[in-house]
Amino acid sequence: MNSPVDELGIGLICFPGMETAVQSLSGHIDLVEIEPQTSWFTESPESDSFRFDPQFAATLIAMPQPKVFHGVGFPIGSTLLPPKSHFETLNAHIDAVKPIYTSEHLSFNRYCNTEGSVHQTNFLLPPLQNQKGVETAVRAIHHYKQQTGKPFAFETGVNYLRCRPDEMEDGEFIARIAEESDAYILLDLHNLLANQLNGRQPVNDLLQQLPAERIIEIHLAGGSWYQDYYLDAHSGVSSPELLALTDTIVRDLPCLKSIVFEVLPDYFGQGFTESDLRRQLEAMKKIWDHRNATAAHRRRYERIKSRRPVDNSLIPEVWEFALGNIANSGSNEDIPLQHELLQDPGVAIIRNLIFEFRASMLVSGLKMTCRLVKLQMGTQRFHQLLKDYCATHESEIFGYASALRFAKFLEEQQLNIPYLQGMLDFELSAAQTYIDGKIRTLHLSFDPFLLLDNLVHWQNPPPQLSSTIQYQVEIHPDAPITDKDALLRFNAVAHM
Amino acid sequence: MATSDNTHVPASNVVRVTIPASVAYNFDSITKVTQTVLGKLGCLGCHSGRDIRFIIEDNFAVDEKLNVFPNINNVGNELAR
Repeated sequence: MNSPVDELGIGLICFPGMETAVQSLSGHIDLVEIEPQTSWFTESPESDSFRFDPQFAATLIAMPQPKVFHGVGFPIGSTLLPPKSHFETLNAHIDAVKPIYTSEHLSFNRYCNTEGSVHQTNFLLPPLQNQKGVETAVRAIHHYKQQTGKPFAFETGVNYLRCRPDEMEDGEFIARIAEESDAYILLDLHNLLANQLNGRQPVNDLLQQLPAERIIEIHLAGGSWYQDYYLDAHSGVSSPELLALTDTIVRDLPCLKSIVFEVLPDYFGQGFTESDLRRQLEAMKKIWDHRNATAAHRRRYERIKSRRPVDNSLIPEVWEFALGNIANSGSNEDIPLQHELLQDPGVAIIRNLIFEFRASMLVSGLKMTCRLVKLQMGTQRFHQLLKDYCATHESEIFGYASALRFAKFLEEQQLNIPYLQGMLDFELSAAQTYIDGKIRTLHLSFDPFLLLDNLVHWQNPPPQLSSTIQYQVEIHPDAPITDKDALLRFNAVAHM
Repeated sequence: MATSDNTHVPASNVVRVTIPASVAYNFDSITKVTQTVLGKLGCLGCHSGRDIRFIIEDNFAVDEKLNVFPNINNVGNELAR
């Protein structure tokens, strides 16, 4: 049985890098939601052990608001349960930060191929929508609840695929999982609006099929259009359409505990400002004040079961392999399900987005190295290099593991780019020291800071930075520091 | 080229530099606001849209002759305006 949850109010998802905004707008924020795995590390692509960053955890603990955990990376729509080490780290993180409850996504992001090996997609994919898909999610939720001992909610996912004629309707699928697993529902209205705009079930029809008393949390976000698809991009404020929709819905939700806003930290400095965030939170507060305003006998959302026939012959493992393989740019037209999915224009969108996710991880994980390669090869050849890498190498969900794998690939290419090996060593050593706290010393035959200065300003480095002088660079662990402090510290410790 | 052995280099020709890992791994932060280190090393956050970090890096393009120029049609530049 899920324990009851108290009313919380307006919340914001706090990613690493958003601490200042959260503190500055603290008066508008009643709860802080955290995606715990975004502050976890793995030691290598082969490792299945994790640890969380204690400094970020300490920052969260110091925030006065109650906390909620929203898991990423290990969704509950999958036949593959997370490794034991995931729950060990999650529980340690729960012990430290003390969230009131946890949630995860009704999606899958891993699949097992016909040889039995497991592959990542780096993207939340929709699970099979039939009774076997329901049972799969129920099993994963039971496991999650058992492992953490916390109240649990699952998030309604985005789905860029067309409706299949013999699948369970979106609302019915969510409702059955909630009822059969005794879980709460995290109603992501931005996801559901995206699904509606992309041709899936209208939001109000979907809500009619849900057990409204299980909805304890709403997620709001902003999105963008891409090739005729509306994306769950978390790229800015919510549209007036979404805010108006939310305002009408919350009136009929009897057990709503919170409304939480999601925006990616990458969009700060790209047109999204703290003022925008404040306005968003203020709009959400007005909506929050309308929660559960409708008298019980007039509420619109009383669960109405779907009568649509569903094909239960397909099994989730086959679905996960077919969609996962296609998402990862594989294809086998001889397999009827893969042939069917390949006709769906949403597959091309998913593939493009996955490439951008993977490429983003690489160019931010090895930022200066990638910039050096691009400056020396040109954009076109660099993009081709990334595509070649993604086509031939496994996807990773953790940034450091991804950087390590790509570094090895770059070394194997024998690109003959001056300073490349040194730059790779520099960035990887810095990342490793940040993770394990051990001092590392590099010896370089060129001035790394002249090279870095060129790269920061998008300038090709001069052919010969090398000299008879050796540069001994000691990278030491430190507490996270502000950008302003960074310059001061760097200047203060350079010496001959 | 990185090397772990500088025993043949006279001590007077060695420049010693100490740098915190967060700065070394986030060198861009010295000149402009960027994500924290954690955002680069941890698990990808939850969203099903476009990851703009790749697009932002394409704000500058490099042609075949290795000339660098602002990619004014890039989505990242549009976002920044």
